[in-house]
Amino acid sequence: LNNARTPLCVPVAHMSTGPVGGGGDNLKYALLVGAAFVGGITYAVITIRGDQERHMERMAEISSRKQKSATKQPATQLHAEPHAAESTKMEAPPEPKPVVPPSPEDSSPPAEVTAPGAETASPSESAEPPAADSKPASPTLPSHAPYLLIGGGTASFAAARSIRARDPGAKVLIVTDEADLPYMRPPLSKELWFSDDPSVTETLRFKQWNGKERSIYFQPPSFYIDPEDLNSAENGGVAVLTSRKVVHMDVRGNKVKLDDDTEISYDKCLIATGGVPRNLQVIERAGEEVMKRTTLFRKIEDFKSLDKVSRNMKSITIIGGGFLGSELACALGRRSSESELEVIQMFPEKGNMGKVLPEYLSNWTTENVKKEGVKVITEALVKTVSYKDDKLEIKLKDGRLVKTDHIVAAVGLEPNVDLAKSAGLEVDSDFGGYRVNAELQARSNIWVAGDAACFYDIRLGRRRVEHHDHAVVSGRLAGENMTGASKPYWHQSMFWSDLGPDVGYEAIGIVDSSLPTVGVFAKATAKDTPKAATEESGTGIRSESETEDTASIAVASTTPAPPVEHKDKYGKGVIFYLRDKVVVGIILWNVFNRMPIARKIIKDGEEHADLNEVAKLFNIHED
Amino acid sequence: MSYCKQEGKDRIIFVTKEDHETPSNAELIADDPDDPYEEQGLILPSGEINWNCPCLGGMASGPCGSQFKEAFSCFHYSKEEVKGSECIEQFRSMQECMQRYPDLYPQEEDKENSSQAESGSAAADGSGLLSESDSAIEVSPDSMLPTDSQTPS
Repeated sequence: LNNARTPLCVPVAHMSTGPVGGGGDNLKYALLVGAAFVGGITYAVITIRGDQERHMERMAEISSRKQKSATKQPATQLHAEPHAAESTKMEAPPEPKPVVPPSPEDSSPPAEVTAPGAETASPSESAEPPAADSKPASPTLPSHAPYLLIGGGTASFAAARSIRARDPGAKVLIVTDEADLPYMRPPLSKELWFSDDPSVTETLRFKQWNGKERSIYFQPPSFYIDPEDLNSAENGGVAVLTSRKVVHMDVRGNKVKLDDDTEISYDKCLIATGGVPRNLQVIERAGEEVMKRTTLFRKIEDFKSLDKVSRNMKSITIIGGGFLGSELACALGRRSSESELEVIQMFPEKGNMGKVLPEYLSNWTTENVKKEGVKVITEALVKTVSYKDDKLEIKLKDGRLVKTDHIVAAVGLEPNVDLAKSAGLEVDSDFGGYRVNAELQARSNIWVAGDAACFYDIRLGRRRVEHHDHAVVSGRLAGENMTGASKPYWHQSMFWSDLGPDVGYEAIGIVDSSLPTVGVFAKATAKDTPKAATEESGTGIRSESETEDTASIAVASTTPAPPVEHKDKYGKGVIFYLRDKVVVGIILWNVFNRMPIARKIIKDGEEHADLNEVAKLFNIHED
Repeated sequence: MSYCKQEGKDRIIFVTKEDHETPSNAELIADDPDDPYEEQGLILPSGEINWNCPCLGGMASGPCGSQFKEAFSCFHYSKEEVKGSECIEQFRSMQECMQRYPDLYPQEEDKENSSQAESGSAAADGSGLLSESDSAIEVSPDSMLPTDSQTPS
């Protein structure tokens, strides 16, 4: 039996010298694993070393490239140019060329900086020679801003100022897709057009109420610091990054991405992206020749181009009868008196400011706009626009045809909510814009202010306001809340409009012509115009005695008889807008310096039995 | 005498000066000076300075903001007989800073600062100091709104 088994038991391979067969296998395993381990480590070390070498090469290449581009374009400071509109606009075309090649490289250094999780911007920045004048490469930009403000308009500037006032040494970074530093918009459709200075399109300076001249820019360039200096600035400061758009927002990661793939993280963020002018569909569909001759008016460059058009063209048509359209019509109308320019204004309503003013006042305003030299076409719905024989032909739905050289479309603003999707922020379906609470907050660490904010007004309800003072008030409030205040929107913002020297008004609250109104008027004297208010002229009080004549006639009859038809029927007064018997809006018509009283009445939110008594508080008969 | 008419939902009243001479019987709610929601003036109810007051313009937020805050705080809390007389250093460093930014702080302030330094008491409260610097410094206390300065807050 033993003999038979022996040949089968012969071991095939005995590699180990261990006592039992299992021990030999263990050693095999141990050697295999050991070899694999050593091989793996060796591979890893080689790869990482290779990467490091490549990284150092790339960094060296980028810095050498920066040196080259720095010598090619010495004045590449995008944001520090005083009249950035001109110079940076011309630089903007050459900019993309050096920017595009480094961008694949640019994405890796920041990624490698953020990968280890250390938010120290300094390593990547100090690796670069402190090239103060070269901009294209993003590694010099801060990768973190404690306060990041998206948008560089009025609301953003107001917030920056508020933050700096309340948080000593705050570092604020404004990112704007415009080439200009923050500026105020109202003069673009008003004061700048009335300036006597022929170089006003360059200087952008205008005269204020008090006679003092100022620039439309909130602050000169020396107020701001360079974005690269932001992190190292001892007392902090406000830096503006121009011509960069924020394209993506990561709310969970508290960071944003720009259109050149730069990532910037933040502690607190403000979205103040404002809006984009709406266009008429008929114009968009009308083709390039028409689009080329259409201005959507909002920015400095639009003002400059429209000024040029007004000097070279024979006929301009403004489509839109609201604030912007009417102001531009009056401004251009005034110009038409000195030149051959024909100014036409057309809109669907029955009169200028038809959605704001009660009908009788809207009609009166329209007459005044016509006096400024504007051909006003009311109840005009545009059907088609075409380009024929070097003219634009606007055909209206009722068949009327208007021929003109240039169109200005002032048909509203589309709030910019591009970031809503990536950020996961709510957009309001009634008013448009980002939906925020009474404290202007959208989410933790994110606030919205200005034209883009649909907020809850404790007194007047949810609304969205597109006026300058609201941008200031909401921007300031957002800045306060970003620095820990937790205050709701409470100080009611106001707005104003001047339509030529004889019609000027200030308004506050909800001023919607569909609401019932009560208007209390006095006869206007020559003193009661915006022009007079500024000039303090003392021309004759011609209408006062006429007021009394008219009034005594009216008393004699029991039924209200129409007064003697004076053209100054609605010279000055106060108009109350009511909602459920409570005053929610007030217009001060050619009556100035009384806004605090109006604000108080709205704040109280009381039902007043006799609004004439309330009107007495305004002393409308006095200056 | 006033007369009125109705045009649809809109009521129009014409009034003479005499009509409005009698005092109004409209009732307004008394304001709470300590209302935290309201826009505060220069000095907060707690006695602290409101650096965010629109009346200061850009003074507290500009490049020389911290120097300005130090100088003005020193002045505000000064208990000396000649108010602010111990604050010369702070005012000097503020002036030095401002001289580095001539287009932000136009150089009319030489006469302003000398009058501050010698009297040390530009006014009983801080607003006098500010109205001087307001007129001297054109650009910084810019009103963002033309009627900003006219609205008492």
